Amino acid sequence: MHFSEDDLRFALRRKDPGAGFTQRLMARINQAETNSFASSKIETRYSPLWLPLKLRAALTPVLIAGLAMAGWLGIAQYQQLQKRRSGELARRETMLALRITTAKLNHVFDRVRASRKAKSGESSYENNP
Amino acid sequence: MVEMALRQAGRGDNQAFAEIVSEYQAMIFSIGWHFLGDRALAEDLAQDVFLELYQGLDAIQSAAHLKYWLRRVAVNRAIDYGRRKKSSRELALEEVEEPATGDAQTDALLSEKLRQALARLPEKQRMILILRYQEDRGPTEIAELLKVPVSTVKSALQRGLEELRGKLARKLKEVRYAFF
Repeated sequence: MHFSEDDLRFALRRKDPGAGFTQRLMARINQAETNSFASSKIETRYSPLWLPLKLRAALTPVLIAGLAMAGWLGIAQYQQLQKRRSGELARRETMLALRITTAKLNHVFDRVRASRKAKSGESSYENNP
Repeated sequence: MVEMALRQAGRGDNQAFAEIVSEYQAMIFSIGWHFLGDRALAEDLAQDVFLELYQGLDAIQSAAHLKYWLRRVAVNRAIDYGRRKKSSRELALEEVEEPATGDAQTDALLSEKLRQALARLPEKQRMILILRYQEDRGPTEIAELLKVPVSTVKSALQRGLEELRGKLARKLKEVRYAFF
């Protein structure tokens, strides 16, 4: 059986897919669009960006309360530290004042003792010339 | 007409897109049908190609670009479908031409035998013959579409025609043996 190139062209001529192809395709496109719209809605609802936002909103009061508590504790601790420091400073000042007083008293005692000694020396000279 | 439909479809006009589909559906469907030898698969392929076009309409710049794009995507998809199919390439009953009388009957018989012989050729040869004789493309354009050298296309065309002739001759012998 021989054939020419025209026979092959005739055998391979274009054929229409038949009635309803466009309708079936458009229905499929509409279906695909509906599905993609629905999936995009789902993605929006549960997207990784959206989820932390919702979590953030729920965690904000807890976070604020935590921060306030930490601030209050910090302030209390700071005040306590300041009190301890001022107490320490007062103790040091008192000790210094005491040391100064002691030194001055010692000096006074020394002078009194010295004057007493001098006085007692004079009287013994008067008694025993 | 296609240019205008393309612009309108790009703006979201589905009616204009349907016009584009009507214009090119026979081309896409026939590439699939002649390559795969299966009407249902060919329709699936055509729908996939047009769905891909719908999703990527913005990238199409002109009617000529559209035709080239459709042909290229159809060819690639047909090859993919063919590799997935891997089963018998026998023609389904619905694909056989309607019986006719006289010369027309001879033409229909020859066409059927040619399509059956074509279905048994290697995929590259088959697609090259389809693009040459269905789409009337030259070797350079076929080479560009299939991303092969022009010399490969020319030799595949020559070898493909020889193989078709050989297969038809063998088929005729089988028929003679069956009758006598």
